[in-house]
Amino acid sequence: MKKFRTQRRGETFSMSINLQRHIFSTVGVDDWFKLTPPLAPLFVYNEDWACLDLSADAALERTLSYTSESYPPSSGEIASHNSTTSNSFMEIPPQVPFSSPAFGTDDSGQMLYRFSGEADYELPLGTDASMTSIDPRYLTSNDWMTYQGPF
Amino acid sequence: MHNQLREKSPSGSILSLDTQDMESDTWDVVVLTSTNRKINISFENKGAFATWNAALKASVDEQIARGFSADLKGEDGDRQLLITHAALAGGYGHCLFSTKEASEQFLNFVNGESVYSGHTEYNLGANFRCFLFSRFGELVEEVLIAARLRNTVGMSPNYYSNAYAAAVILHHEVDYFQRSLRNGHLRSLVSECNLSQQALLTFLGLNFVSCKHLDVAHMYWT
Repeated sequence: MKKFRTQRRGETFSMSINLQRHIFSTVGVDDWFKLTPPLAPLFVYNEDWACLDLSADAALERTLSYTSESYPPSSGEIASHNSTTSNSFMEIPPQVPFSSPAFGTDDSGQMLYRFSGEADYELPLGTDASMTSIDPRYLTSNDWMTYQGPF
Repeated sequence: MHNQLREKSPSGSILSLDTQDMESDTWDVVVLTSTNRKINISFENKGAFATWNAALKASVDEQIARGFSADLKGEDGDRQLLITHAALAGGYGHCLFSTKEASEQFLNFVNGESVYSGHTEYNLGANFRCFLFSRFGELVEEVLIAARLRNTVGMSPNYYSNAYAAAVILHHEVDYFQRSLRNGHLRSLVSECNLSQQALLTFLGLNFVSCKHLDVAHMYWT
């Protein structure tokens, strides 16, 4: 005879609810960005902001978009942004001395580019709709990016 | 239920259970029964914590069916799923109406590291019960609507028999909870808990009447 699962009526329940939220922020304090040589990152300027173009093509690792034409950055320069890509912009307040970036190497000889070395403030994201995939809460001025080739 | 959600979140920053891009929630609900059985409900949520999130609904449905529902299936034919859904409604009701307390814990991880979320209220228990209640209501409505369409032209006899069988199962489930909450095993929860159980009882009463008025259900039942 086939047995069916039935409810056990009359029982009362005590629930223990555990929720773990996992946030995958690829841009954070002490996070590193990988640049693919030999080109430099794309900086986009307007009157108030400089923008660093970030690609949003991977969930756990972002790659900086770049172009050799827009480096070194200079005030007033405006580089075009291909809106058909998934790139997003990270805005850099003008007071950040990003135009004099620090370069160095880590222990393995990989080149580093310091995004900014000044006060400990948060880098806000801009208003471009494509920026929403990056959570600004985890951006600080002390982030570093790896650079794997000469500018 | 919505009142309960409001009442339980008086001030401070309340955690939204809808996840954004690059966020994922892992729920682990451990249900300990008064007979010392342990039933686990575990699921991941990406997106809205609501019944219109199809992936979430499918995952919770499967686990509620496994842990709380009678194992009833319709025979092949039109709308056989109705019978499964009527039994599933009973499972949701079982989980919802028989719960007397819920504890909660929230942990926030950023890139694998535990980070304080900044929220002061989580309200996990109320939100989870709200989800159960919403899904219970959906399933009840689905079965009742199917049973009410008995005079629709072009429907097969199979459709009617499955729809009516589902209505009878649902009636049986709803009747049990209503009786049990009023003067049965679950009676203590009505006074112990709060107004939500009273509100659920009212909801059950409405659906009991609705179900009872179905000709076939009535025929089977009386």
